[in-house]
Parts: sequence; C-alpha cells; structure tokens
Amino acid sequence: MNAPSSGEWQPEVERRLLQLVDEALERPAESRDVLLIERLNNEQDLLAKARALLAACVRAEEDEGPFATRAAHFAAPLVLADTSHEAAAQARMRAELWDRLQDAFVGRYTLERELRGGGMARVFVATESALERHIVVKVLPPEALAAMSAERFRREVQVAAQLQHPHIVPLLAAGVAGNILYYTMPFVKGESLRDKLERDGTLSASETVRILRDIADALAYSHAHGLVHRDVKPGNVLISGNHAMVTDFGVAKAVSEATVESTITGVGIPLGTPAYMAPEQAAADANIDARADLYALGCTAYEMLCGHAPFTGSVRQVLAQHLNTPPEPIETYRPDVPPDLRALIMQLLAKDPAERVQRTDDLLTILEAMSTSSPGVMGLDASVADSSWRAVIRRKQPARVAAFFAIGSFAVLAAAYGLVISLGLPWWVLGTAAVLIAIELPIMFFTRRMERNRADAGVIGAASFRSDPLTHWLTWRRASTGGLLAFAALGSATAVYSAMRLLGVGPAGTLIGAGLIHERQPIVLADFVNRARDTTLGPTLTEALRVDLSQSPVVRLAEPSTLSEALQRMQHAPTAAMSPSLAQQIAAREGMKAIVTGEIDPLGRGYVLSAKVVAANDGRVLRAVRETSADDAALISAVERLSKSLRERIGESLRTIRATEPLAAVTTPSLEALRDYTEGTRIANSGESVRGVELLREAVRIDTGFAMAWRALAAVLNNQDAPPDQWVYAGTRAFQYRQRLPELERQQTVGFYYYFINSDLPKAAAAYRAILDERPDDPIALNVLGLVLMEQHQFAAADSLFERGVVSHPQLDPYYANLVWDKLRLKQWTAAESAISRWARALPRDPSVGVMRALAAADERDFARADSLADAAYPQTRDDPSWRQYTVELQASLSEVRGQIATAERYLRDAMDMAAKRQNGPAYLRVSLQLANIQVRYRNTPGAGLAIMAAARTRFPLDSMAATDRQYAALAHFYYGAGQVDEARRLLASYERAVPEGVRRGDHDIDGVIGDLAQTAGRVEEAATQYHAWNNGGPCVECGLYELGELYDRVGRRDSAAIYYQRGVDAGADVRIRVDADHLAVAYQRLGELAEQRGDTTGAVENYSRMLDLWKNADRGLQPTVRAVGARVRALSRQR
Amino acid sequence: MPRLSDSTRDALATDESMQGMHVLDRLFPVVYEELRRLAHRRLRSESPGHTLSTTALVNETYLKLAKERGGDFQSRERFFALAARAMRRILVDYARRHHAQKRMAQGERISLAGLEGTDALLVTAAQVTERADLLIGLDDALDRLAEVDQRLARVVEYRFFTGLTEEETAELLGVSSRTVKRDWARARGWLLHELSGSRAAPA
Repeated sequence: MNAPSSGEWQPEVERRLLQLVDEALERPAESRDVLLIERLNNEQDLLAKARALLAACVRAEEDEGPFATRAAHFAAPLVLADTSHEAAAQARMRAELWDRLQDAFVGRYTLERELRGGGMARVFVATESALERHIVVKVLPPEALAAMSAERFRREVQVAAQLQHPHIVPLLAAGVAGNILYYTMPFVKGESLRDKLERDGTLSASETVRILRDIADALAYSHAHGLVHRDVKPGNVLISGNHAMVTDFGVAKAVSEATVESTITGVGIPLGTPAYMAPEQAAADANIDARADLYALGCTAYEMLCGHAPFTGSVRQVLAQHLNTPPEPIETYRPDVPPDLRALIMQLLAKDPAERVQRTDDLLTILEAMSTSSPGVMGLDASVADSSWRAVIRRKQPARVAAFFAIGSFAVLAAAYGLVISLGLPWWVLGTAAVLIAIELPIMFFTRRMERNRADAGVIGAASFRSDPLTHWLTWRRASTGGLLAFAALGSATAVYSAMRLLGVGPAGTLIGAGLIHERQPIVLADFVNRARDTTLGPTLTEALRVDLSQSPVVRLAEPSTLSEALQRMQHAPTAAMSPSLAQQIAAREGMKAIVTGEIDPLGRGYVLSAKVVAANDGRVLRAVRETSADDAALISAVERLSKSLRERIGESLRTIRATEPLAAVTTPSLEALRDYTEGTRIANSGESVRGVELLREAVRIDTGFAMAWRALAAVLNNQDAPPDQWVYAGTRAFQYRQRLPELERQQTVGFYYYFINSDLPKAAAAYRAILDERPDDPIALNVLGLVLMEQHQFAAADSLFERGVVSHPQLDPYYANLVWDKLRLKQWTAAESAISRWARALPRDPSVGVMRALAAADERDFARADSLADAAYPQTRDDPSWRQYTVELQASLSEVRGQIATAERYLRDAMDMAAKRQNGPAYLRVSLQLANIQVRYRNTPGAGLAIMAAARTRFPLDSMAATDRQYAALAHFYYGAGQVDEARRLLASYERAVPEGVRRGDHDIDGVIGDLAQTAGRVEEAATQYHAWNNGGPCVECGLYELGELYDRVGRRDSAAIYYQRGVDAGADVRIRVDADHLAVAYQRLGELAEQRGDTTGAVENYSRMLDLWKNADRGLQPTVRAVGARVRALSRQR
Repeated sequence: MPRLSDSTRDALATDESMQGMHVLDRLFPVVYEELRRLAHRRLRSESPGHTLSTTALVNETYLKLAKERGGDFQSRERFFALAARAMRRILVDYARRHHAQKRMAQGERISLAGLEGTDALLVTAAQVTERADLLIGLDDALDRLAEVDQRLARVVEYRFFTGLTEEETAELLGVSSRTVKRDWARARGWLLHELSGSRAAPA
C-alpha cells in the first residue's frame, strides 16, 4: 500500500482534499492542476492523492464507473439471486412435507391446500373423509417430535378439546403421522386477526373493544376451567363475521407439558410468541397463570390500535423489553383512542401481574360496559353512563381520580381567571383559589384511599369498616361538599371586597367611591421629590408616571397648557418646576380637588418610590402607595406598579387598569432612553432646540422603537424648521411604531403623519377629531385640524377651531396667525384686524404682530397704510431675523405692486443678504425667485432673471436643501415664464424623483407647472384642467386664476380671459400682496383693453384708471406704458 | 396529529449530526420494515424487473406511512432521509446475505431480462459476488465519507440508493441542483478512489 501517512484515516485531510477538488472542478480543466500545485506545493504526498481524487471525480462527473447506475439495478442480481434461492428452497420443502403428510393421512384426510403458516407450524386445509367436512391441520416442525412425548401431547390436546365455547375454536384431535406431529380443528371461514391487521394496519377503537370482548369471553371461560392459553396473539384469533374466535387453545400448554427435554426453545418450538409474552413467561417463571394471557391480550390490543406490538426488535430485545421497558403510550400513535380504553390496555400491560386486571371476569365486565355504552365513538361521557364498570375502574385506576381532579382544578382556576379578568377582580382571588385547590389535593388523595378501601371491603359510602374517626368521616360526598363550601366562602369574600371598594368604605374604598374626587376631574401631578444622587431621575420618573396616569380613563391630569397658563398668571415662568407646594397652590387656585406627589429615596443600589394623593385645600394625605425598585433597570416597572396602585386607590376598575398597555410598551423599557427623552423635550420646550434634538436622537438610538421620542423629535424638528427629510424620517418612524404609544399620542402621531408626511386629509382629520373628542381643547389638534379643514376649503369650520384655540390658549400664537390668514383669504378685513388686535393684546411682545398688521393692510390694497405699518414693524423684529427678512420682502412687494421696480429690487437684495447671512438657502431661493421674476415681468430681460437664478443656485445648490424646501413648482414656473421650458421639465422630473409620493400628494402648486407645460405643448384644455386643479386642490384660493386668464387670452378666448383676470383681481389670499405684485397692474390694463375691444367703455375706463392710479408713481422705465394707458383713457373719455 | 415525545425529537435532531448508521432514528425500524416488506412483496411477484424501482418503493412507503403516522415524520425531507438510509441497508443486507450464504452455485446465471437500465442480460455468479463485495465495500466507505462530509454521503444515499434525480435530491437537501451535481461527482470520485484500494484497511 501507499505511504503510511496517506493510509491513515484522517477525516480532516479528506475533507480538505474534497474541498480543494470542489474548487478545482469550478475551474476550467486546464487550470485545475495549477490550483492543486499552488495549494499543496509543500505536501507532495497529498498532491499525488489530490490528483488521483480529482481524476476520479472528473471520471465520475462524466458518469463513468460502477455506481453510475442506480443501486436498484446494480444490486438487482443480488436480490434476484436471493429471492429465487429462497423461493426454490421453500417450494422444495413444501412439496416434500405435503407428500409425506398426504401419505400419512391416507384414508382419513385429503389435503386440499396450504394456508399461510404462522411461525413454525404449517397449516393445511383438508377434508375429513368420514364426515365430509373441512378441517384445519396444523403440523409441528419435524424436529419437535424428537424432543416431545407424542402420547403426552395427544392427551393434553384431548383435555383442551373439552372446551366448548362460542368464541373458542375447539381442538378435534392430535396425532402422529410418521414423524410428523399434528393436531386438527374445525375449519372456520374467515381470516386471522393477523391477516386483518396486515391488511388494515390498525383498527378502530370500537372494533378493537368488540374483538377484545370476544377474546376475553373465551379466556374467562377457559380460565374458569383452569386452562391458560399461553399463546394469545393475533395469529391465534380468527375473525369470522362479526365474531372473534380464539384458536390453538391448550396447544402451547400441551407442547410444554409434552416436552421431555428442558431446552425446548433450542429446537425452535414456540412456548408463546415473544412479541406477546408476559414478563413472567419471558423470565421462564414456571408458575404463570391466567394473568399472562391477559398480558398477551394487552399486547394484542395494543397492536390492533397502534399497528405494531408494544415491543419490536430481535427476540432477545423484545424479551428484555417485556421485562424492563414500559411500552410507548398508546396516545403517541393513536390520540383518538378513548382514555378509558388506553388506560385499560396499559393496565393489562403492567409488568407485575398483581397490577393487571386480576380476574378475567372483571375484564370481561369492563369490556362489555365499553362495548355497550356506545357502539360507535366511545368517550368519557358516554362511558359514564354505566356505573358498574365505573366502579371497577375507580377501584383499579388511581390515574382516573387524578385526572378528574386535574380537570376540575383546571376548570376552577380557569373560571377564577375569567372572572378576575372580566369583572376586574383583584389577583388574590385567583391566588386564593389556587391555594384552596392545593389544600384539597391531599384531602382528595386521602379520601380516594379511604373510598378504595371501603370499596374493596364491599362497602361504598360511609359505613364503618375501621374505628379511626377521621377516616370514618371522610367520604367523597363530604370531601366535595367541603370543597364547594370553601369556594363559596371565597366568592362571598370577593363580593364583600368589591362592594367596599365601590362604596369607598374601609381600607379597600376608593377616593371616587368615597366622593373625595370625581371621575375625570383634573388633578395636578407634582414633580417627584428626588433624594437620590441621580438628579435626572426626578423629571424622568415624573414623566413615566404622567404617561401611565394619562392612560387611565378615570384619572385625568391637568393639561400642560393649563398649568403653564396658571403659572404665568401666578407670575412664574411657564416651564417652572412643579414642586409639591406649587402644585398644591395651583390646584387650590384652579379649583382642582387633589394633587399627586411622589418621592424617590435611595435604598442601597435600589430605590423606594412613594406617591400620595393629597387634598388640594388642606394638604391631607388621602391615599399613599409605595413601591421599591432593586436597581435602575427596575425603575420603570416600579413606576408602573406605583401608578397602577394609585389608579386603583383613586377608583379605577381593575379591569381597565389591566387593559392599559404596560408602561414600558408605550414608552420604552430603557431608563436611559426615557431619561434622554424627558430631558430632551424639556430642553427643547425651553428653547434650546439643538441640545434637545441631540438628546432625543440619543433616546431613539438607545431604543429605536421608542415611538414617543420619535414623535417628539419630529415635532421639535418641524417646529424649528429643520430640513423636512429629518422630520419626515422621525415622523415616519413614530408612525411605524405607533402601537407603542398611549392613545392620545398615537392619534397625534397618525394625524401628523397623514397631514405632513403622507398626505391624506380625511385620515388626518379623523385622527385629530378623535383627539378633540377626548380633549376638546387639545392645543395641537385644534391648530392642525384647522389647517386640514382650510386645505379642504372649509374655512368657516377652520376658523371656529382657531377661535377655540384662541379662547382656550390665549398665550399661543399659531391660532392668531392662522385665524388672521384665514380671514384675509376670505377678505374679511375687519375680522382680520380684530384678530390681530387680540393677538397684540395677548402677546404684546410678539415680533410678528406688526408685520401682520402691515400684511393685512397690503392685502386690503391700502398700500400707503401698509407702507407705514411695515416701516413701523421693522424695528419690532430686531431680535427675530426671519420676521425681519419677511418684513423687508413685504416692503419689496409693496414697491413692486406700484411699479417702483428699482426700490423693490433694492429691498430684495437686502432680503437676499439677510438670508445669506442666516445661511438659509430656501429663503435665499425664495427672494431670488421674486427678483428674477421682476426681470422677466417688468424689465423684460429674461436673461438677467436667469442669471440671478443661476447665481442663487450656485450659492445654494438645490441639493444642499431638503427636497421639500427646493420650491420646485415656483422654480419651474419661473423657467417656463423665462422661456426655458426644458429646464422647467427637468425640475418637474427632479421633483418627482426627490419628493416622496405621500408628501407630493399634499402639494398642489406642481399642478400649475404641469399646466404650464401642457400649454407649451398646445394642449389648452389639459392646461386649463391643471390650473383648475391647482386652484381647487390646496388652501390656495387665488392660484391658477391669472394663469387661466393668460391661457385663454393667448388662444383668443377673450371673454373667458376677462372672466379669469377679473376673478384673479377679486380673489382673496393669505398673502394677496405677493400675487398682486406680480399681476395686478397688468391685469387691470388687460381687463381695460378687453373691455375696450368688446365696446364696454365704462369697464375699460374703470380698469385703465385703476391701473393708472396704481402706477402713478411707477419707475420711469414703466412710464411709457402708463402714458399709453393714460392716452387710451383720455381717448375713451372723449368718445363718451 | 400525534405529538412527538421530546426524546424522539431529540433523536431526530441529533441524528442529523450523526454519522452512518450508528445511531438510528426511532422511526428507522418502521421505515426499514415497511420498505423491506414492500420490496420483498414486489420481488416475489412475477416480474421483478418492471417494479424494481427504489424510487417507486420509497414513494409508496411514504404515502402509506405518512397516512398512518403522518405526524411522526416532521417533514417529507425527514422521511426521505430515513428511507434513503433504509433502502441502503436493505440492499446492503442482500449483499451481506449473499456473502454469508453463497446463494448461487458456480456457473449459475441470473437473467436480467426486462430490467430497465441494465446492459447485460445475464450475470454470472462471479459477477454477482463481485457486486456484493463492491456494495459492502461501498457501505463501509460511505460511513467514512459521512465522517468527512455528511452531505456528500446523503447525496449518495439519495442518488444511488434511492435513485432520486438531481433535482429531487437538491430539493430534499435544500441546495441547488448544481451543487448536487458537483457533490455527486465528488462523492463518487472519492468513493471510487477509496475503493480502488488507495488506503490500507483500518487495522
């Protein structure tokens, strides 16, 4: 052989080679060897081996070699040789025996055919010549005769032949023919149970019982006659019609008795069949009795149900298992078999004969009960009907009582659990029920023993059989009555407890029950007094407690806005820390009944948390609860327990308490994250939004599913005008994890998502309405629902919401601003003015009030007043650069509308500088657009406009801005106006790529651009449709009107053009001055011309005059136009 | 559905990592017995040639056993793994019996007429013995291969002993057909190399 190194068995080497071959096979054939050399260049012997292996694998790949065909074909000759040899040998033997037997039987029996033999014996059907009847001849193996006394065998068979029973196939005779030992019996038409099982596999439970019953009947009869079968097995049971008959009765015994030599198994004569042999039989116990037959019957029954005998394997293994191994439970194979039957069979299979059913009569009784109780499907209920066998079972089967008890216990516990959950009972009810059951367990078992003794003594019931008073007393009836009374007592205790709770009596009474506070009456939550070293714990745990209490439908916390307003009235900062004494003052002032205070005390590595409900008027402690937390990690759950006990004491039902989401599930399981969240929102609210955002980002980094923090992050980012993709991301995350929010926050998240992120106004409105149903003055819902309604053009409804906001929260400015804008849009100038005045009164220092006044005047087209108001507003905006820039932009528009283009340009340059200084790209872009538009509209120098935009876009490239800040629509509209249609088209395409579809849906300005492009392509109707969509889609009531006028004008539909110009001039708008600046003068002039053309001199003069009035101080560059219009007016006046 | 006892489930789980036939599934005897019975009955019937398809036998066995004790086989894959092993043992048992009993007289021939996929019509006793030797050698070598790479051994059991196609094998092993094709080549290459006597028989 080869070198020892390659001859040794080293699986890892083989594995390596095989992997190498795998790699090589991947390569082209010519480079494979190179690979092997590369890898194995230092291992020459392995290289040789690898080459050989690779070659073999390549050959194999080409399907050569001995294993290419399938094993079946490859091994076919072996199989054929085997079977043909076996068949030939058997046929030879069969023919031989047949001849010998027929010779021996001459004159008495005529052999007709051979039946399939069972085991060693061979079976023939023959005709008995004298009686012309069919009989069965069974022949023992020729070797048997050598070991047996033929005469003895014959006599034993004669004894067995005395048996007369409908379920026994009687033996007729036994004899010796030549050297062959045989016995005969009547031929019974039918098949053996063995054949039936081979054919059907398994039997149904009811059929099994029927067959078992017949066998038991036969066995009971023979056992009563002192005869044990010793070889009960499916092969010895004949099924004839509906009946089963046992054959070969006494044969085993006869063989055994007749055997002279002790080593009978050595000659292969069966003394019972291993698969069905009772342990005592397998152990060659000489004194086997009827119970061995019952064991064999058990094996037979097992096989009928499971399809195989309890034990399989070699004879040695099977015998060993009979002695030592418990059979696999029947339910493993047949879970459908009724438990009674399974238990009975398993009992028959007991290793110890004393544990089996002791008397065959008993077994017969049980089986008869089973077979008559229900002919079809048997079950526990059906079998209960027959008390006679129940009595037997009860005595014999300890498992049964255990099962009853287990089911009963389970039912009681399930019922208790159901009641605890559905009625909101305390958990101790379930605990006590469990304890009662635990106490009853030993009583039940003791009673069972007593009853069993009594039953064995033939006395069922309480009749005395022993003097011990306790055992005398203990009966099933008394034990169960005692159990029932115990549970009744538990029920009463529960009822009394619940009543006391509801009435507010005693220690279980609730605050609401006692009338001390009312349901949903606001209470103030004071900050935790924190005596632990970690100072952030106070606010963090207060927030946790706030969230959990806010989930309660009964307890209601005073809203933050109420508190901050109260604080302001008390000359405190609105974000002042809520100390217990401050909380009590506020509660007392605002007419609230109670406050909740909490304390944190360090305790080793853990903490003690306590909370009290304190009366607001006199500081009396109404209820106090306390929880401990082993360490930081357990704090959140400790707060949750604390809150739930508080809620329970206050009077919330246990059912709703249990129904609330776990605190960790609606906030976060991480204390760190909760801490960052609390701190982050606090800091952000106090104005440090950058640091606040950092902390909130940290919170969601720790717990990425922390929806509350995502929501806060989205809100803060949105409020501070951060790039939209940031809050879009945060808001989407919050929406995604919205299941982890308490109800109100969830609705707010949903509303935010559907309003700002994935525009779906009805869904957004539904969410905010749900919030307002719960909290009618919720500040956010009031504002955003108003905005949503505005977009849906339901301005009156929107106004009423903003009104509500102004009334409930006079300190918050968005309601005023939205109210003002809405009134401007509806051209309700007085209402707008009065709203601004209320705003100014409520928030005198608000930098936007002055600008808003100027804007209102500008929108009303009182430009002179607007001018002076804007000038006055400018100094107010000293500390607010964005409002300052806005003021300048307004001044620019005021100049532009009156044709003072150069002034407007100066203002706009200023505004651009401001925006650049603030590094505010979107604002810079907005102002640049206005400036560029002026070049196109009034200077007629589109090139200058394009240059301005090019510069602006170089300075602040679109890519540097958030997608939603890029003003795609306005940009595209500008390029369209400047004649750069391709650029407009490019921008439209970028817009569709860059802005998510959900956000686009809420944006209608782009409809205008699509209209522009359709117009360029000459598709007038489509353009008109788009402009209409722009006008109807969003909150914008003025959009698209001038565009429609120009469109119709361009195609010569002058009447339509006049209508839409007029509507443009008449339309309201929140910032109408911007629209006017671009269009008003031109629209007046064109309206005049159109009127003149249709002969409407009055209309023409009116519009021309308005134009002249507007541009009376216009730049010199525009004066030719003004003069021309003036000439027309004079001409028309002369005509009149 | 009958539930598997925990010990059975453990056995099923560990069997995966076991090699060769050393540790057998509790269900192995059942599958083996059923297959053997079915195979035997088939072979006893008049025209063995037409029905000697291990694939058909295994499929038929699967249908029968899945109906009777479906829950026992957690999956079809599980069953086929057992069946492939059982088929292997059945065929190898024939080879071993042939060895032990020298079933054929010298000069006797076996007709393979009607057996699809075979080229020779008559096989001599010497050839049969040679095949028996090869099959027994293969069985041993396959045990060793399983030590080296369990999957390669499984591929041989499926492809060669059960007669499954590349695609069927791939599906049962949860790999691509291409992998099975290459594994099959590597496994056969390795076995041929192993049986060609490149290694000294382990002492």
